[in-house]
Amino acid sequence: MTIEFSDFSFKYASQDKATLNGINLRIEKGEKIVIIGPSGSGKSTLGQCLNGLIPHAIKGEMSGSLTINDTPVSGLRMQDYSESVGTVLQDTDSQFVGLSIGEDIAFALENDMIPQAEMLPIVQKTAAMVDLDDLLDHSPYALSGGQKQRVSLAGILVDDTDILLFDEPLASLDPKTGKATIEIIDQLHKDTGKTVIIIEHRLEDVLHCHVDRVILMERGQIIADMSPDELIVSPLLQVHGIREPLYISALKAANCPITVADNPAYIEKMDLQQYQTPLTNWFNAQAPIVQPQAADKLLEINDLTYSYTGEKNALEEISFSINRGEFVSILGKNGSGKSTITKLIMGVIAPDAGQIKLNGEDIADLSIFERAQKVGVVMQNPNHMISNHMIFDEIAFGLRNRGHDDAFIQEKVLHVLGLCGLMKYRHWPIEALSYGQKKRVTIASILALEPELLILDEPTAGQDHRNYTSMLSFIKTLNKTLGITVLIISHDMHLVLEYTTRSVVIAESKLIANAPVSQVFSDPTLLDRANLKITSLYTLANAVGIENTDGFMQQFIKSEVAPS
Amino acid sequence: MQNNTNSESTLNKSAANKSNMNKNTVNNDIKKKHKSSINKTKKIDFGINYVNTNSALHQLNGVTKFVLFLAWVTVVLTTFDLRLILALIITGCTLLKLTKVPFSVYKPLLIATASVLSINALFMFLLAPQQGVEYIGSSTVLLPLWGDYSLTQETLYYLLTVTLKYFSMFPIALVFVFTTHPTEFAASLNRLGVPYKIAYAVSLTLRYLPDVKNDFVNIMHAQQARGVDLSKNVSVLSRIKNVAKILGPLIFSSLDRADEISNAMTLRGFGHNNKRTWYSLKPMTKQDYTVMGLIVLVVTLAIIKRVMATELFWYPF
Repeated sequence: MTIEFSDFSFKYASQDKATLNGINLRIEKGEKIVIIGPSGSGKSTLGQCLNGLIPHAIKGEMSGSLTINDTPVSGLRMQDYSESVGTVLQDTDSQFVGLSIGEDIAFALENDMIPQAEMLPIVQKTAAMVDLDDLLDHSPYALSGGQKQRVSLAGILVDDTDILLFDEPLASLDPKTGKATIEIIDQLHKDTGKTVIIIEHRLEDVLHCHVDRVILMERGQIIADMSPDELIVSPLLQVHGIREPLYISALKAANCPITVADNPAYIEKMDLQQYQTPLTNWFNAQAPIVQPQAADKLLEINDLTYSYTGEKNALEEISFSINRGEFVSILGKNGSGKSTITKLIMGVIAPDAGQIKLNGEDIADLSIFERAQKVGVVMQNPNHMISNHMIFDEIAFGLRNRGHDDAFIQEKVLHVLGLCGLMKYRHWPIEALSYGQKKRVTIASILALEPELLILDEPTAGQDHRNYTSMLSFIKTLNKTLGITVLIISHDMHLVLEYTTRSVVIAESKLIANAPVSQVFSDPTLLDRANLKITSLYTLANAVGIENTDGFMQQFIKSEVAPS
Repeated sequence: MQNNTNSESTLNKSAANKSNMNKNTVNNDIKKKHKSSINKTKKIDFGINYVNTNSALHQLNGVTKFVLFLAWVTVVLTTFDLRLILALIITGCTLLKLTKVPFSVYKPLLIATASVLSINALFMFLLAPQQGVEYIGSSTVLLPLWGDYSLTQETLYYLLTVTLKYFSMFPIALVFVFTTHPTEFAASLNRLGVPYKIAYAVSLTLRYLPDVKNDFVNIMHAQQARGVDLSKNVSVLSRIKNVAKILGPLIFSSLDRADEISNAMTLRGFGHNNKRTWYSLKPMTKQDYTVMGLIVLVVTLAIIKRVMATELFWYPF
């Protein structure tokens, strides 16, 4: 089953410019390919051309040719696509249409009119492939993100297609589950010999297992089509805003020569010993970092306990505090209770026990709006926050509700627009913005209220590296210059490592660590409990015999931040 | 799980009164929030959805239970005979008991239904105070009031019969909802000749309603934090305007979601064929045929009774 694009272009019916431009790409049967590229590069569109959503569900103009197994796609019906390409979508919730695991796995079989008697053993067998055979009666609400992902996988495996397409499979998973997913995909590829195509922008995570080729896309074109080793050595990743693996950045910072022969794409295949001298020298040359000490407590959380059901606690006796001007992260896997903390601080739910103090005062009696004057929360999905049609109105919204006069609002909004780099969009309707820009608008709308504490819930969700780097650098600047205290809730380890200084780690409703980020990331047992994984920096430091992994990571962060 | 239960209860309510759903939820949540600083928020909410207790009723086929429900409604519609209505209520409550679903689960709904029916009875009296007299043909004044509004024994009896008549459908509806798995029901509907795309929509609604409800709650929180007041402190007009601030984003995010779900379903072959099979379809058993037979018998008797009866009302006094 080969796939061949030649001079292929595609333009969405709703857009003026072509999203894919002159694509030439051949994928052989049984290959494992990764397609990377920033948001808007056309990588998802390419996937939709492969699975038939284009042209069957999404309309537009195609030119050039695309053949799947030597058949031009113009002759394919939707069911022909479904028989040859199985797609695992980014949003596992949208893909989980059944009311139980068994039902969802059977969905494709039902649509193929397979009799029920034949269906049951197939479902059982497929579920066993992804270790779900004991959970067939479970409903989607009772499952973790990783389990849902495995259900999605089983749901397409049941069809036994020759090509498996994964659209950002890591987007909503915590690091440990993401790693397991990459391993499952790899095992599947080895066992079945199917063609595997993974669309993803987290290159380091995908390269946890072997990949035959990486296709780099930008602006609807293929920039590079090469082996992962060649790509890592080339300057292309940095040029096109893709996060290069952390250990590669560290090696480059220490001026270590890296060649294709070193297998730089896979850290476990590399001979790291050869870099011992330059790395140790680089590490020792830097002055030890002195942690700034601040004592002015902005937020104090004491023995906070909350339960949604009255039976199992979502949070159990959590205590920590945040000092004014700090940049702190809360880490933990999905469902560990970390977003419950935000809800309790916002005041949309009330704690069962314990108290929350802001500036030394208990805030239990304050209303949601009163708390929002001091604590601004930016939610994960900007579409949940935006309720106005025009950008100016959206940012002015909170101020108007406060009852300020127009002149004051005008001045304030313009100030915030300038601060957030949105000035030129001020007369634009919200609909004209990209996802990343909308996220920026939501941050602006919160900043307009001048909160003392800014809470960002999963700020990197749905954003590529370039977008989130520019957004977080901006927040970092706010933190530095305006002294706004920032709290980030996330399981994105790169983000937490690069931007926050201290981490509060929650696992199984309990606080298991409250320490500098580099220290948390140097503790493999702790990371495992919180469904995180060790970073390649830690692996690298260990391999070259640097015992102070904590210091090594701090060193790295400093060198990363310094040039910019 | 609890979350899920809550939201599905919202669904069932919404089926009855969609337009009120959002407003009520908002108001309830606001009330909760206002109390929350003083009292603790009441967490355990009631839920009306499929509850698997593996009772004998759960073993019955969805088709059987659906036919039972339709037959029940038919019988209720044919009669104004209080004896039959009471028999139906007793049977219904016994069946409800047999589902093994704890009373606390549906207690709030029972209270709500009872109150709505009482208000309904009151309005019926206010609109037509002499309706009972008209139907039954005699007049025994119990409490003389001004004009036509004198309370007669006949009207009281009439209102009691009508209210209980409505109420008799309540237990069986709950039995149906508690014991029928949504997808199995969809499969049953399909078997009864409903096109599978429509039947599947039933199951899909139940699948995604909790997600939509979560979106709604998120949006509401975001808007409240920015000062959208949904409490009684502001006028009705601005409250309606503020609710619209929540519905806008909700509609857009739901449309996006619908798009993604539809793509996911297309990719997995939904709609390619004119028919589909069902993983959750249960075979009809001997018990099902026995129950069906019984249902046919009862419905026939009820219709014969209606045709033969000389008087609409059974009035012993």
